Amino acid sequence: MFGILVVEDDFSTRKLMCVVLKNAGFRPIPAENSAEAISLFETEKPALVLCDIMLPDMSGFRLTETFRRMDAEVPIIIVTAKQAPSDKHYGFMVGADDYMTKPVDEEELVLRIKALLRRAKVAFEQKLKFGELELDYTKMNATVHGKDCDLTQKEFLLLFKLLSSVGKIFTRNELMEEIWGATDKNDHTLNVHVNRIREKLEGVTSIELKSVRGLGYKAVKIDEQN
Amino acid sequence: MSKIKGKQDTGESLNKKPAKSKRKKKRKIAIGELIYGLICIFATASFAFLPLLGLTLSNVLTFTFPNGVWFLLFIFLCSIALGFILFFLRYYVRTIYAKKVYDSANKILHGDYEINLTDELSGEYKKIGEVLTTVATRLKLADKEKNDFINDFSHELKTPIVSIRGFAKLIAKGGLSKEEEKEYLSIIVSESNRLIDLTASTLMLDRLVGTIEIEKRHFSVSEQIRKSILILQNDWEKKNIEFNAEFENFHVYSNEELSSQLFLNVLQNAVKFSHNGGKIDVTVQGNDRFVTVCITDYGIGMTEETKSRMFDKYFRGDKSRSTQGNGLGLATVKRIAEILNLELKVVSEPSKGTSFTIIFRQN
Repeated sequence: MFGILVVEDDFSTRKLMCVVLKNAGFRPIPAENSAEAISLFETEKPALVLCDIMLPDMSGFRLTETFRRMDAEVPIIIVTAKQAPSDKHYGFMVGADDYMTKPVDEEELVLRIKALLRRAKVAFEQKLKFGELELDYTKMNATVHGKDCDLTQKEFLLLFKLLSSVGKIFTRNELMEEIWGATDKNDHTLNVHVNRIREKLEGVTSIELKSVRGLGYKAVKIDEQN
Repeated sequence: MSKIKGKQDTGESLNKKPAKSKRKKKRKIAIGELIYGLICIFATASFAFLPLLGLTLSNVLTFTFPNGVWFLLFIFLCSIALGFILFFLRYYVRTIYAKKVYDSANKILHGDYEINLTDELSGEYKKIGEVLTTVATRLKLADKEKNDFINDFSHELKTPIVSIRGFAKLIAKGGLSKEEEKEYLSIIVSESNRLIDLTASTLMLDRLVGTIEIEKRHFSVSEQIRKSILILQNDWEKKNIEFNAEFENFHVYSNEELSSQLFLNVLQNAVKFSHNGGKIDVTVQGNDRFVTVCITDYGIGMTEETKSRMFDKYFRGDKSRSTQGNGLGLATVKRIAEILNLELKVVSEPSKGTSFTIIFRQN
């Protein structure tokens, strides 16, 4: 099970985070201060670290630096009440992979953790299933009733992103940036890809890709539509 | 010799002054200093020219030597005396004025902001006195603002906290039906959210009070608006609101964070005050001089009275529970518009809707 080191000095905040993580299928490893955190980091080798900044014995930024020195790969999310842009910049500079400000939305936290773990090629929630449609991130393919849909890599990534957050609308720019790298002025590419996916998923009755005029695209579950 | 030095010092230091003083509109001071300087130069120079004068006079007026000497001595003593008087006056004035400035500055240090030096000083001290008085006034204002903030904030905080505690106690006591418990818990969640919003909004608004330095850069205002609309996706989807948000990509040179917050607040209001199933039109138009954003809802609109107070802090136009906010949204919008130098226009009619227009200037 995937261990997540939770470094937070406030009792109820720490307890809340641990419960939320446990419910999401992770194994929370709580730490009250930096010393405890460092020792647990060495013994437990967590898959990800959630680090608060305002700690009693050492600044969370320095703690992040320490973790980075000990392991260059482990994903670290800084969670803190400080929200000035300079603090965010500093957080990234010392090696954090993501930065969240309190109060943290629990759902968002779990989604970000999953995204980071996925990117770190940790095999977690690499599979999505909607009725007869199954997507496997490690294999980069989608199957309908077990039969491969023959999606190209870009088509798969696009579909996976939309299906990871069903119902959420993503702007064209966001999708172009994440999947193609740059904000290509020609978002005709995006339209073409969405249509191709629709064609290849013809026969799927559980989900649908919808375009929201002016705003972007979203994936919706068909039986939940009104 | 030291007396001569004294005069020269005075003359020189005064000669330096016009060059050092900043180019302000206080020409009176400059002219005064100039005249002063001229007198001192004259007084000093007169001594140097004395032998020349003496020679000339003795030639012209055929003074006998002893009388000439007395005459020269007399002139000599007069210029020394004049120089000395001027020097002494200056020194005396300086000490008095310096003491006044010191006393006032000391008062400010100890928290007494009731000082007024605007008319008491002159010369180079006049400027210092004015600035010091302004500093005291500003500190007094800041103190008052701090106290007001604490009072307002604590007051606004109390209401949701009392609800949360009340309902939590009821649940802890037990004996409630499943429905009641569910209802009370959901009230606790929504009141907590309200508290979070209040804290965030208050902190944001407080950050913007006073002059702040902002970083500007080029960014797509169109994409920013789209993203802001999507941040509120849950809220407007819940009300089945349709957004008409088709527009081209336009770029502006401004501060991204504040601009985003402004749009978020305006859009939030548009969603809040729209009816279920309603629509919101968002247009973005631009040319090489302006980029104009227009957000229009067809909801409850505002009365003239509400419109006149809509930018006041903590002012809530609609008291009904369904549209409860903390009253800081538009105050923040107004402040951001001031900071970013944006033009704001609002048109509203009760039961017809409201339209916000935000104009960015392209430099």
